[in-house]
Amino acid sequence: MPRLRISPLLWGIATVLSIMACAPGLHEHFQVTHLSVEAANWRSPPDSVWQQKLRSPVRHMLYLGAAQMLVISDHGEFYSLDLGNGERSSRIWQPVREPTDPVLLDRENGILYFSSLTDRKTFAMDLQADEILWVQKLDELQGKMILTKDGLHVVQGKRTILSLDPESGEQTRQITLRESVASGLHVLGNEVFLITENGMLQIYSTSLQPLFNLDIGTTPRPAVQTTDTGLLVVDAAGHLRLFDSRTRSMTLKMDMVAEFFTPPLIRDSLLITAQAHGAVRCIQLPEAEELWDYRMEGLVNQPLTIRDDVVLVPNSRGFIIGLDLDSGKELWRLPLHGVIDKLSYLADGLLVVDDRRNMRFFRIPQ
Amino acid sequence: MGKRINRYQPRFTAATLLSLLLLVSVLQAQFYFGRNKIQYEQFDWRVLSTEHFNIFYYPQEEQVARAAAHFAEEAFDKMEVRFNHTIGESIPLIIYSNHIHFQQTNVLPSHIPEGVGGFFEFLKQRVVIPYLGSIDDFRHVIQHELVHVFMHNKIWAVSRDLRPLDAPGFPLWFTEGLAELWSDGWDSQAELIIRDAVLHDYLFPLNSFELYSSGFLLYKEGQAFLRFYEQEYTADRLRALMEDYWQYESFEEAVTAVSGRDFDDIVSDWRLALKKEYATPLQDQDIFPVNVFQITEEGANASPAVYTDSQGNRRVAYISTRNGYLDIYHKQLVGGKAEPLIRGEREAKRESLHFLRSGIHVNDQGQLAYVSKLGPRDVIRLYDIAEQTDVLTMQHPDIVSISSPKWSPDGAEVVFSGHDPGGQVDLYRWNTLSDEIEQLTDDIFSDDDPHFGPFGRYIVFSSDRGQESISDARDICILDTKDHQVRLLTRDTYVNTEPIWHWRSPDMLYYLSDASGTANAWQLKMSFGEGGDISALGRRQLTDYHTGLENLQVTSDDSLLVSVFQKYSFQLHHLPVQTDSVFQYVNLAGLQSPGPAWTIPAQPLEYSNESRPYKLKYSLDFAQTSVAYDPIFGYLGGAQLGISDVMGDRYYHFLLANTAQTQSEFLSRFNVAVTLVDLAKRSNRALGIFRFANDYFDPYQGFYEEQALGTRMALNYPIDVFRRIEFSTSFWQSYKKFYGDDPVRSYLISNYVSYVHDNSLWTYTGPIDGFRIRLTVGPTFDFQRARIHNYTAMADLRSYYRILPNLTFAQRTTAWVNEGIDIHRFYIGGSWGLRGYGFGQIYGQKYILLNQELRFPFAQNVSIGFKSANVGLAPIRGALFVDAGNAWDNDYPGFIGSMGVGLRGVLMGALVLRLDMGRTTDFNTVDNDWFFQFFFGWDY
Repeated sequence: MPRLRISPLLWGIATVLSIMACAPGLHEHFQVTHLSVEAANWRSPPDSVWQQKLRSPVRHMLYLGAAQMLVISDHGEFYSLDLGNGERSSRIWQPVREPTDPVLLDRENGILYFSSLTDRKTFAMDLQADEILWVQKLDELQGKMILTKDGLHVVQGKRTILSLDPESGEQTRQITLRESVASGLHVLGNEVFLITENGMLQIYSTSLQPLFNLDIGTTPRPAVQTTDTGLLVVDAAGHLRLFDSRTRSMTLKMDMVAEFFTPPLIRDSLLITAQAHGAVRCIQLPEAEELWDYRMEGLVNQPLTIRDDVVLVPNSRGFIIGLDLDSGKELWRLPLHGVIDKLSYLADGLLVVDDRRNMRFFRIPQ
Repeated sequence: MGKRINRYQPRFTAATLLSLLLLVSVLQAQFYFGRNKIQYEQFDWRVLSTEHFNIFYYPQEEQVARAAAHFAEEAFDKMEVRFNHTIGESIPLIIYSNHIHFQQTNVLPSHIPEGVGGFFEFLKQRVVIPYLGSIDDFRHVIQHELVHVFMHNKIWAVSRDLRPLDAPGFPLWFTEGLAELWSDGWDSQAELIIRDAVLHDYLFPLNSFELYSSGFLLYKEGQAFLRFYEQEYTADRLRALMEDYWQYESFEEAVTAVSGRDFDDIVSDWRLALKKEYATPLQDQDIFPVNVFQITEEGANASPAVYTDSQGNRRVAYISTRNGYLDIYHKQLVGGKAEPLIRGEREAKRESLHFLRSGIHVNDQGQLAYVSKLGPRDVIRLYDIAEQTDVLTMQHPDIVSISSPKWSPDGAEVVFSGHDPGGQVDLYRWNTLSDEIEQLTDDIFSDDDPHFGPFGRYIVFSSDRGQESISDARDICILDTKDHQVRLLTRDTYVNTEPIWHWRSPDMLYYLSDASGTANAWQLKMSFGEGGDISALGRRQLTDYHTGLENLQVTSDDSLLVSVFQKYSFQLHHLPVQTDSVFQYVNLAGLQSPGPAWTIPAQPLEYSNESRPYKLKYSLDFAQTSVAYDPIFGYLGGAQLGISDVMGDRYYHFLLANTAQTQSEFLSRFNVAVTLVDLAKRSNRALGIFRFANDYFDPYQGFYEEQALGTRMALNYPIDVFRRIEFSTSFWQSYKKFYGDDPVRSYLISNYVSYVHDNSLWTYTGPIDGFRIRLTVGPTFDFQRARIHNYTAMADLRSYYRILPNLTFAQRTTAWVNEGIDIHRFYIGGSWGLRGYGFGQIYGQKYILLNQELRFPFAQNVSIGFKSANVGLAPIRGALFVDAGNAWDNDYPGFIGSMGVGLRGVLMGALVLRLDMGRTTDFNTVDNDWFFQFFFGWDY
């Protein structure tokens, strides 16, 4: 029987190629930039540029800069997409088993921090160098990470806040609360904000020293939005709270007969709220006078945004609706394919995943 | 009291698969015997599409279907917010205009009991709902099933996205409790059941076997717990539980983590809160008023009818479950022993007596009017109590269901509530002398509980026609049969039902109302105007039961007969009327000009009003069907993966396997079978083609390989729900290769015919009453050689006699004969056959087997405590048995047998584990050694 002979050189090349293929990382070097808001004309409906059927459902979409989007799938796959044509621009790297939470992109230094609940590990990856900086074994991380001048903070379990050294991943401090943290950690200036499941707003320094407590009376899973000066909190029982961190007081407290699953927005003195059953309201502050309301069918549970004086509202019936900020008038309605799974507002367009794996990019006319 | 079932199953685990296997064995046991699901009607299905639903309906019920579309979209909006979740795919919603049509659905393969008011089938996410006449109940059931759809979809989405390896499942009390809570909130029915459970101390632990086998109590306990949980811990945490459950090892651990308090402590808090809520207000009161005489004690008893017998004794007839079946009993009003009068549920003409849904009434001539289901419709039967026979029946082609037959004062007419094929529930009058039917009302309002006034001109009834908007409130109405004008006697927000106009006191009308929280007896004082106008002057409450009443009857001027809900059952009570309370004034203005009543909602306007014909579209299903059984190939149908249409009327079953042991055999050892099963019509049919190639061993032929290629047809014709005839024909080429002999090729055709009868009544471990028969005979011909290949005849007779309510004598007689060229051998040893012998120990081409068993209760609660959980093994029943039989080829060898004792336990509420121990005998001597045999499966 003839024997297949393979030369040692071919063995060597194959071995090197195999090792390279198994090497961690995306095998691309990304220059991470800030998400700048350009002067696009959002008063016109977005135009469809491309759409792609993805290999698996998307869990996170992070804009990296230079028209590159980092996609992290439900199955723990990492890859980048070229926003120009929707094509994959890197290899597919699967460092963890699903799911991948929490995720934080440090745009200043181009570092991506991510955790896997299944693998119970947290990673720091330099996207520019395509290099894993550190891996730490950490259990039960919840909510979202925040990066402060005193470290990387994250909630572990329900009541523990960990502070990690961003450069090594070593734990530098740990505090345990008496109540469970409700909606993750939020950072504003040099202060860390959190709300507990019994409705207490707590403020800590970035070194996790307690500074302030206030009972704001929200339900266990409020939706929280940071503003320039404080925190906006709504919940499924209709509580709306606007907290000013400078005066350490609530400047607005409304109890409505409504459910909120998505945090409101503030633009100047206008407060935009979206109730779960599809009523969008604009309230003039501080008088709390309603300027307009807009009603639509379907559930609103995805974040709103304001671009170019246009309020963008996604709803469960497969629409993104553009409303005029001043009048509440519907400017346009963008129909999608059924349920919106993920949505990312970019500088000049929208990146949407609907129907589970259908990614579509829409550009706003200039 | 409707209950709903669902087949919700969030994930597949080993336990789930075990359950599925069990399900298969149950179904196959039911296919061998079992009652028939008969497709009496050929529905011309159409499809109405809305934004989120495809509504499947037939033309007669178009009005109901459009209301369903409206309610479903309304419920969808509500559930989106409740669950913070949406569903992108269209949800199939299959609507039937009444329960008898609903029972014919093939979406579920099994027989659907009368108590089931709708269900959600999780595999294809189909919702199937009957319209039972009440528009408010219809809306509630749609919401209830939509809760299941959303919960299943939300949890499935988590499983799909995150693919957890070992996530816990949600217990049934949670899924059903949430469906009740988020569709209905808290109503008087929930209040009645939970209040009774607390007062009588039978609130079961949430994960106990008792709760799981309690039926509707599981729904209400789940609802009560989740109501408490939502109040104390908010709906946010219920949603969080459905989002985060996969991170925990058990459901209880997930609740503990999400709530921040141990699950068992939360349950303790809830039970304490219930005790405080109900015990404190009642601490100074008796549960039952004084001077109340309880007439019944065994089973559940309802629908009393008082009459005077030929000896002048006051007697009461009523529907009872005391014997397991629904029967009509009668006894003296005071004292005496209950005796069966009419036996139900054992034969086709009394397939059901509709417990709590209908009623009975006796006229002065001693004729008892009652309703039974006969084939595709209900029938009113007039039963002569003295002669003990039915004397007249009435069945109308345009009336599907019938309830509440009531005699006129002269005993010539019967007024009743009828449900037509389109869904309307109206009043009808049957003249029993001329046999004419007159429709008295004709509208979408639900008109129930009619009762003649003292002069025969007026009829009082309860209806939802008095309400401005759709609600559960009902009013007492009066119909003038001369001009068919309907007026209201009450108009409020309460559930007012079952008016009884006392014929000896025409100014007094009695009815039930939940104005005090639960249903109690009230009295209306009537006023007669000059022009014949009748109105209500005042009303007063007569009883104050804490757990509610049903089926009001007036026995005399100062006493009532009622069915009282107590200890999770209904018992008849005879009680005096409290006449010391004063009448409250009734506002006549609101009754005489009540304003417009509610209208049935149309579907949302933005969707097309056009419906389209239903077209067959197949998708993957877990097919559980069977058309016929024969001794060679077994069942045609069975349980396997296949494809089916939305209605479940047509299935394709596929089988693909390979039995090759070497590479060269690969192509020749494919086993392929395709079967089409058509269940759409009364006669179920199946057609299959097959190609099998396997090695076999036969004691007469040794080892051989057989390749069989052929086709098989089967037809099953249900005579009625208890009896059927099965036919099957198989034509195939058999190619047998023997080791050492020449191969044999044969062209064979076999024909079998079977007769099956089954009216058995089951408990957890097997049948306890009724009888079952299967007789099969058929030959197989060898075409090529023009001779009979073999023939088989079998008889399997099983009967069950209840000596006492809990003591059953069961006997089985089975005989098989197989003769011919190519014969089959039967093995009868083992726990399922002749106990005390090994499976392969007794065999032959003929056998006879006689089994006798005395079945009795042994223990109600037994569980084995493990570190992680308790495994329930209850209830346990015992059996004393004697078996006899033998198998032989040529000469009958005489009987051998065994005798002993056995225990049967229900493991984890589903799996029956049997242990038999005893000694064998040849009926001359008894073996000295004891045998012990374990078996999983129901009693024969």
